[in-house]
Amino acid sequence: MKKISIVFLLIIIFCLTLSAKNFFKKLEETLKEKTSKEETKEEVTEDTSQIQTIEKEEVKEEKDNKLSILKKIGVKEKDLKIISATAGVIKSKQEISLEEEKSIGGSLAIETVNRFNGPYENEIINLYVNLVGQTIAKYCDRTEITYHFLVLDSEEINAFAAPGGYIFITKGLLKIVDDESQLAGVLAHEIAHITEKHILKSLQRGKFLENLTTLGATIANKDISKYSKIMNQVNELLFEKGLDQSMEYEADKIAIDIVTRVGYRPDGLYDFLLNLKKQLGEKKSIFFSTHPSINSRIDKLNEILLNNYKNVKGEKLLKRFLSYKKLIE
Amino acid sequence: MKRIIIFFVVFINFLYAAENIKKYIKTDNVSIYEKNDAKSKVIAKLPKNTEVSIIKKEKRFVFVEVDKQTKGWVFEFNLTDKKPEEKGKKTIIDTLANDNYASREGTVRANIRGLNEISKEYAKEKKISEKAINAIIKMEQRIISDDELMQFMKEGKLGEFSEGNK
Repeated sequence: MKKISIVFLLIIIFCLTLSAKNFFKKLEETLKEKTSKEETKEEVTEDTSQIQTIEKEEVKEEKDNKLSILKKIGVKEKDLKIISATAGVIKSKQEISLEEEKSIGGSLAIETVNRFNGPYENEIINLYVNLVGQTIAKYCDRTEITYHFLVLDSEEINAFAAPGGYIFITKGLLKIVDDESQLAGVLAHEIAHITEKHILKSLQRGKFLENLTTLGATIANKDISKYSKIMNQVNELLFEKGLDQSMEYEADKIAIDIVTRVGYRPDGLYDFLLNLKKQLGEKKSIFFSTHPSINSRIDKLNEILLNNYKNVKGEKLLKRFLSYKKLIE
Repeated sequence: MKRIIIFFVVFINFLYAAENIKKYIKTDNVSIYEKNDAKSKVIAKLPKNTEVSIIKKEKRFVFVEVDKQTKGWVFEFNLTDKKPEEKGKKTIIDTLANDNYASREGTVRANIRGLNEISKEYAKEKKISEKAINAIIKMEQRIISDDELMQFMKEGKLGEFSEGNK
């Protein structure tokens, strides 16, 4: 028995030593992180254009160095170009930077306001929609960007999300919403398109690829003609073709998850779609041409709700919503 | 003796469990409460990306240790598993990619708030009205304060003020 105790004590001492080692290692990492954070802060205050020029030179120098190594080991000039171009294509398949996302989103946002009769000039309604939207955005899975919400002065029933955090709903849509949980469901669906980068992912496919490899340079050089070509494709995607059906279903699923985190009842979006169906039937509108069939969305949502949210309750906030709704003209 | 051994084994497991579960604060100004209830006293406000150690979970709140002095309850959806991204790490593909990558990398650090110049120029090129451009600028300038948002959530029993039953 004594022997066993000694063995256990030795194990315990060993574990404690390991634990202490980990602690000091983490402490060292934290201190390092703090120092690097302070350095980054100082750098940000410098002129950004100066930073860009220096970085461009640094990247070019680094690239030249790596290419010269490949040359030394016998890679031909022609092959180097192929390697470089291939790396460019792979790069375009990687993440689009936040700056590029904001540019595309900003342009798309202006286009949306222009197409849908401008903003609805009702400060109280816009503030309310922003409060609901910001509440949901606070608990979504992508918080590194700022979300913005605007009501459009259009009777058409529609909602849009542009990359970079721009979300729009029409006055017409607000009129067929019954309570705050339904509005939250619609806004959460649009937020999900942004958190999942649906538009950007669609752009990274097929025919958009060529333009995306040069998107960074197009923005930095303010090459309007090239940029317009990219934006024409983005506009076509959002306003005419619409996203893949699978992306719409995914946004619906995520929307339920987010509103439940926030504390709204999970079936707000489902009820909104039932309302929409009742109001418009299956007749054609832009909403239907850019979204999957309303019946299939209702069916899928119903399945998710029954399987995962059967006993989940939450706030409807009917009274609060109606106190704002009566102000909509 | 057996009891001592069991105690030590449990103690070590606890030490490791506490040390290994790390999470990060998702947004700025997140409240750390004295109790697992948003009506209790706020003992600290944490900035985004703060690392915390998870100790236990009750209802929709998690008891966390921020540092030796600060321990308290935080609403579970104010936490994320995602470690803040390390900036400036480049792969060989990044380096070998075409020169335009330099612009992409360089612009990341630029100020990303507000409409980008090229977005405005594109709108002018397409002869989109100033009204539409100004609407987006105004949309971006609308700032809702933390207090205003918390008040809205409190009134609606939302977020950390929700009773939630999932």
